[in-house]
Amino acid sequence: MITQFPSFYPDELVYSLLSRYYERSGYLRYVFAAEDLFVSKIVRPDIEFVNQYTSAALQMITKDMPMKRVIEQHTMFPYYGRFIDKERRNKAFQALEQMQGNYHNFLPIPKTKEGESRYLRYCPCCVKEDRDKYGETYWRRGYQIREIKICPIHKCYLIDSKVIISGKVSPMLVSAETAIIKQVTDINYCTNELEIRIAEYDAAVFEADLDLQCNISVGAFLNSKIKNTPYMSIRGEQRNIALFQQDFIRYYESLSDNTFTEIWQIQKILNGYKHNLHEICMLAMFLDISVTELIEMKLPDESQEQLFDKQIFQLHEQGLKYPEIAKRLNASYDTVKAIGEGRYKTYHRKRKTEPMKGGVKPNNWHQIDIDTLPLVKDAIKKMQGNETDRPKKITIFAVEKILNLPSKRITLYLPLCKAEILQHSESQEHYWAREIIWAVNKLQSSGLPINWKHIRDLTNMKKVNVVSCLPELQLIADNKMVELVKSLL
Amino acid sequence: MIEMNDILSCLPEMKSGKELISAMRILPDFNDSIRKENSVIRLMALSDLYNIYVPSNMSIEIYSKLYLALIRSLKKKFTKIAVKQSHENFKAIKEQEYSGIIGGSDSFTIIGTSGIGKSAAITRAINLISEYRIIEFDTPYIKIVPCVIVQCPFDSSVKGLLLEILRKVDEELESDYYKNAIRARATTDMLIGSVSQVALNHIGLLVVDEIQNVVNSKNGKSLIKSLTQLINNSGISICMVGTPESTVFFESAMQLARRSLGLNYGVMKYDSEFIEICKVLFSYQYVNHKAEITDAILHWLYEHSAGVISVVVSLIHDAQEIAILNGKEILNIETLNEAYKKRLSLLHDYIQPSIQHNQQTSKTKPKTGLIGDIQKSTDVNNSVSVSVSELVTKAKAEQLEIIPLLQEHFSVVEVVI
Repeated sequence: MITQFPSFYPDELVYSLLSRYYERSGYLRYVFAAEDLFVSKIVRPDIEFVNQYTSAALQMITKDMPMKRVIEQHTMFPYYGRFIDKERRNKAFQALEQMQGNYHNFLPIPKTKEGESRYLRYCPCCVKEDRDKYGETYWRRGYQIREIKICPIHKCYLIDSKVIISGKVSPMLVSAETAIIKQVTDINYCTNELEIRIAEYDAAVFEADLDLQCNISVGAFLNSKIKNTPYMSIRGEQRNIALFQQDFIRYYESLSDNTFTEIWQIQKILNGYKHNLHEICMLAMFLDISVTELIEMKLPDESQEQLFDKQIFQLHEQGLKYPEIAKRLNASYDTVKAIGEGRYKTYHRKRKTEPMKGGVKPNNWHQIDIDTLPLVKDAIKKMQGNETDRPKKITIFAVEKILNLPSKRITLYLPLCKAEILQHSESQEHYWAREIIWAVNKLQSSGLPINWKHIRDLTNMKKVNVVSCLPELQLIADNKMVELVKSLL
Repeated sequence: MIEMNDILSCLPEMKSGKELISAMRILPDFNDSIRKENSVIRLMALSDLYNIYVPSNMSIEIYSKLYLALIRSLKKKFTKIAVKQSHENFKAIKEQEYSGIIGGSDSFTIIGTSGIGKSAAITRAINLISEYRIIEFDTPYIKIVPCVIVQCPFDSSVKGLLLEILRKVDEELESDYYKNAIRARATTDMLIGSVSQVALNHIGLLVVDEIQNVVNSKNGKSLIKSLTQLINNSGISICMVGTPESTVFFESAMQLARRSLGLNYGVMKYDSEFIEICKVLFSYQYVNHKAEITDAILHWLYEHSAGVISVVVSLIHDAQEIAILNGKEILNIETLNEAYKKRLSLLHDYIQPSIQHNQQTSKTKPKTGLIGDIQKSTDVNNSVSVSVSELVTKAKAEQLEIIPLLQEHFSVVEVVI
């Protein structure tokens, strides 16, 4: 029973809130608090996100704000999920909202490198201020952004605590007040202006409101900001990535330990394959994009290519010849003419037939599906059992095993076979009912007494299973059979 | 953050004067018609006498003391220091070095003779203060039990007391502190940390009754020390209730004496308060024949209870019980005397009824003779020593009053019956 529960401090992690609850509870063992908070008391508390909480704990966590806001303002979701595509972002958010635990499947959370460890971090100045204001300090979200090394408010370097962020440590809730025992007096302040600026930029983007419905790719947005710069061709089709990288590295020259320098890293962001918040912020800062613009991404109504083409058509309609237009637009005459005549990039016509390719021939899955269907039907019939053979539960996996097919073959490539199997799919209770009927019939035919021991030997069922399948049994067996089974219990 | 106004709004308004007296008074329903019922019904209804509560000055003082102590305790809970203290208590639970930051000077005692109504007054006061059984705040979420009453264990066991506190809190809040403490098999030091934390979070005022149990127990000092630690680590007000024998214990050391300043009560005097209580009790008559209370009865009650209200209640109750059972069906000095002799014999050594003044309860017998033959000696010390039996024989022979005769030779004290 939860009889006391603290309230969130600004920018506090959910983990921090729960650890304050535990330490204030008076419980003599961590497990007692875990029983109050988590559905499974042995679960490891998630430092950056949420776990599956008990209804009482969930009620307390969401007493001042809905779960949506808790996730947006008190977990690391904005760091990992802000710039991923809309569908993935919403799935991840939903998984967190429903505490399903599979949000890792949707969020690009990098694995910690071998030999490296991550620890919860804090700003010594913020700790002092918290203790003066609240009487205690707490774990702030913003300082757990991997790439941020300084506090954007006090401009001092963050310090690693001893609380490790790892999936291998024993379950425990450790509050900041307990972990940060001594007040640090020797504070290291950052003097690098650029480092301070990037930290402030990152923090501002991280803390901004999240638009879950934004379906603009950050890569496309950044690309749209490169238009009309030396890093993009006139028409906007090609990036001068080498120049971009050169200038980018020069811009961030004074940044110590900067590992975001390679062309492939920049390209991944611009092409939408990578969504690291810090790297995106670095690019945005380099391109002089404000925080507000980055948060409220908007693509221009017309792309650079469309604008260029439009200009050609407009100028041509005005009576200009293509050489003149090309000169005016500082573009190639051939390109301008091809665009103007509507044949730009049209010489690549589709072939009527597919060219002969070497290598492995693709499978004709449709034919394979048709050919495999009778085999599947036979397998199903076998699995339904007869007087001697025990019935088996009809599942796709079981059929694949009988037919020696590779795993997922039927699911992915053979829709007809899959449909046939699903027609015969049944619940566990229905299968148990069939098994019971078979066992009784077998005992009757072999003349053995029908008692619970024999039934169990044949079916390996527990009494609780038999009880649970009685409703299904009543649907598929006659009253005599049902009464007989009931008498066995 | 919770402000003082929020705290005050969660408590019932502090009462005083007539309003307080009226609120504290408990008078069970009584109808004269009960006297016509059969004896079984009347005997059962007689137990209502134990439910009567008539407040006195002591009740008012106790109520005020408890209310103000509760306010002081609640004020401390929502401060930064309380937050810091909660972390210190956590260190205690983890068996690390810790300190009592929040401090506490709010411990006091209520010492009084057994039976004068301390516990009843405290219970009534707490019932009024804890009108809302549990105080609940939303931000931060917390449930507080205004007052928790525990009994000092007979063997002054520290662990026993600490577990009892947890159990009482669980009763009110439906929590599992006691169960978890047993599961954890905690040491006393860890338990002190845990109970301090629970007290800091959930208890307004802790009342420890029967504190005199510490006096004759070898663990007594340890218990008081642990209570001191609890005060220092939780900041709550602790009220220790006991009999005068605990005073000697608290006087033995400065730090004990400092923490046991408080209210001290003796037996009631024969005054308007006592008379009012007796009149109220006397009005609850379940015997067939109703009797009026007289001054003689009031005097008798005072002398035979030594000013202890619980004895008065027992006398009136048992007297009526005896009267109903033996068919006398009247509450008078005779039945009261019977109850005193038969039911309260164990108290005779503690109650020494004394003469107040000669109060005639019946008509004097006419004298049959004058004292003329015997020379009166004014100087009692010089009188010839004679035995009582000689004087009795003489009185019988000469048909004289024995008392004047005895007065000539002895110092005689008359007792009104």
